[in-house]
Amino acid sequence: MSEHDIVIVGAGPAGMRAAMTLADAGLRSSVIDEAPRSGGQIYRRPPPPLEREPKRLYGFEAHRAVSLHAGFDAIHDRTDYYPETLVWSIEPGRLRVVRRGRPMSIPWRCLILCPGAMDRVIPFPGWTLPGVTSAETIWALVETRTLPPGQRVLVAGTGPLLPVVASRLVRAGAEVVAALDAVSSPRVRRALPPPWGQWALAGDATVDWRTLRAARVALVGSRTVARIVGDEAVREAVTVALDDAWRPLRGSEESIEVGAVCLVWGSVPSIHLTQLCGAEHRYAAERGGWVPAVSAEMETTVPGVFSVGDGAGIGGAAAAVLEGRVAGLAAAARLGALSPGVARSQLRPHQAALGRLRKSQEMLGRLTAARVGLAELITPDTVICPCETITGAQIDQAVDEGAGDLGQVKRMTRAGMGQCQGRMCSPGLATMLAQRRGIPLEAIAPPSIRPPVTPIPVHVLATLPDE
Amino acid sequence: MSLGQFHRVVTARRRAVVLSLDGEPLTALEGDTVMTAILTHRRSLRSFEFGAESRAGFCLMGACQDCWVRTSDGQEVRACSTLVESGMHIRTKSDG
Repeated sequence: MSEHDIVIVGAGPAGMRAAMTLADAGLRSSVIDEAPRSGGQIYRRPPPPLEREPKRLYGFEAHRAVSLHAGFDAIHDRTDYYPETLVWSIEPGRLRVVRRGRPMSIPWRCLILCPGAMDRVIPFPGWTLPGVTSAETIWALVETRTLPPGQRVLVAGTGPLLPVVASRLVRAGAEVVAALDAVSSPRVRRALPPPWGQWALAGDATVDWRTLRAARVALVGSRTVARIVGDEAVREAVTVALDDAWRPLRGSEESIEVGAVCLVWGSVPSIHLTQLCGAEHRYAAERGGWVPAVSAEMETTVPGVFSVGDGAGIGGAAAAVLEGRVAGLAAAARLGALSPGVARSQLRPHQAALGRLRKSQEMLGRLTAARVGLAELITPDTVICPCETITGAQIDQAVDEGAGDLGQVKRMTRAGMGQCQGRMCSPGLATMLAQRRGIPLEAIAPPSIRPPVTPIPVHVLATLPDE
Repeated sequence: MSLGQFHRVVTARRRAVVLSLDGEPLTALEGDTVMTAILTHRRSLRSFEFGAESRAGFCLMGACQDCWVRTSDGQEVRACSTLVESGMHIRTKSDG
């Protein structure tokens, strides 16, 4: 255990970089991660039998992935690394975790939270059918070298990931029927900052577009998928044109035969852990929604608690690495391992680079941020909360009876009360509430959160050590 | 193969692993997740708890809890983030 009780949660790009920065300053940290191997989602390392050359796994990001993995591996004797460990509660001075089924308590004085993000879901009829997946699925499929069965895939959503996902599917051998962008595509392309590669996940956008053109994949703007028809599999998708508020235009429906649908609605920062700490949050549409308020050193409003990576606002791996460095340096200065002057001069270039990166990302983020018109697609039998199988009709009834926020909807309908604790349905539910009530998305607070923040076996609670 | 939700693009150089799925033997490959093992043979993982529809996982990163199945000792595991092991027993049918 580290003598200063510095704990990093999450071993993705932000967490790995923070641990490396601390180790460089001579400080030992504990790194807690859910996965069996470090890398997070974007740089996940497959189990040994599936290892391949980095270029095939990480595409244009390969050089950054390789150097992070090597750097993190090199500090293994100066870091306490806990893989396969889930954080389920954060208390003052103590983290509650489950490691391979066993409860543990880890003391902390300085906390660097790097929980990442989740794919955004905006519900519509048929989205819960087997064969409907999200962007994240594509990385998993590339890793496990499987595909939706050799048939036609429709990709729909918006943002810089849309062409990336579509082209990776093409390169993996799928037949991509079309890539539908809710925003008119020329506008997205114009908004992409030069160089393209600045948006971390976008990699080399020109190459993605070239792949799509060569495969004759239609990139259609101002259109999305309105309904999916099927039973044990996807059979057909109905697409619809959208106006500027993403309201579906009646009469513009077209149906296509497809075998799978991949939805790419951008990512939502995971804020459960910063919420548990009691940090203040603010709404930033261009950064994915609700994010913790942080200082220039990435410290939240709770002293000693830092938030970095996509969990602090969507920025991709390049931003995550810079933020990890910033928080690492700030924490090292706080603990006296770096003099304030040295820390300031080391922080400055990273903060400047981060400022430039954010400026261009936020331009694109604003253009592709979720717009509430899409919630008009929700029908009475559309599943809104899959854990509890709560439908559009039940939500509408709750709204009619006066439910105004996510907490009231949850208590009246159970939506968001299931196993995932609202991770899946909250963003979509907020979109629906905003659309039905005619209020802006930022007027809807994130759902309140309480431990356990992830499902844990009841024996963990029953065998908590006496303190 | 056409019965699966996923199909394999490459299978070279990986050892076969035999597990049991609802009492029937199932052959997977070393390094597969439980989800890959099941969905290369079936369309879905299990039924909705509160309806007739099927579920096949969604987020594939251990967050949405859509893909849980049970091991023979009754423990719930997330199929997307659990690796197959030889001799593993997986149950997808609910006991009601």
